[in-house]
Amino acid sequence: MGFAAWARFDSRRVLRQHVVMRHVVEQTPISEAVFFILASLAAEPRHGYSLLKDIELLSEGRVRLSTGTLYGALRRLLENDWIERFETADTSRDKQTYRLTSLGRRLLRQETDRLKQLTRVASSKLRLKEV
Amino acid sequence: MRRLYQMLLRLYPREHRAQFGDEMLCVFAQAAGGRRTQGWSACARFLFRESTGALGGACAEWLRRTSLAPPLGAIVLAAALHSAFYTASSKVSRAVSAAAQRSDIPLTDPRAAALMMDLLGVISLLCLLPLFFLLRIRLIRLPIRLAAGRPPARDSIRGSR
Repeated sequence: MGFAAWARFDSRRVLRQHVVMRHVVEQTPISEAVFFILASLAAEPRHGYSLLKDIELLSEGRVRLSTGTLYGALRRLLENDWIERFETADTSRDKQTYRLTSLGRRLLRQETDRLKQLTRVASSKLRLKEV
Repeated sequence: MRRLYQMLLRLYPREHRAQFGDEMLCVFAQAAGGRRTQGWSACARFLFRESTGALGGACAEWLRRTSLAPPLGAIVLAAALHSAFYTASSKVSRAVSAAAQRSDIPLTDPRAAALMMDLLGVISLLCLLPLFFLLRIRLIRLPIRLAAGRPPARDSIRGSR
């Protein structure tokens, strides 16, 4: 590899790909905040404030994200191509709308299946103990 | 409140502010508007959560931009090679001075040879550091391509020959 290619090489991009691959292949769990963001965007595209309100509603008031936390997570999700910006009629600089990508949808489905399997196992064990 | 949040946003890296700054401020203003009607305690809790969130987010963004692991790895690797080189060179210099003392050849100050070796050692360390800053990229890249089920890139194969 020539020096010019070395200079162009973006090691952060490779690390990002690594993170995405880890979630897709190894099915590593995603954080609760990310899960709620993806779940909220699964139904329809939303902008920042709408996401905050919906996450609070979905978690029954248990998860209240701050604006800083939300945008840190959104930045990571955009970088990993799990979500994308979506142009609407009222899209302005301070009101961007986000939606799930096919990769994001796939990961959400994968995570939901994983959680279902966990709860199934735990429920069956609890039932055995109670009998 | 809006002004306070604007000040907190200045702690973020410039790129992040350019990308999300206006949006974050708008969302904060909307959320603050909703809390104002819920009394001062809700308002204080909201302000605390937002400021800690903004501070934490800013720290995380800066940390993300200055990843310490690759440079530290490069320094450790370079230091290990340097110490190996230093040990070998000091052994050679000692052997040379011992041989010179045994023979009839008049020896210039043996400390001069040792000093020369020390200088070479320092120069080698300085040369190795930038080399390993570049090398860590290749060390990361190959396992990732293999894990993804793709063959190593042609240029990395050519580079490894």
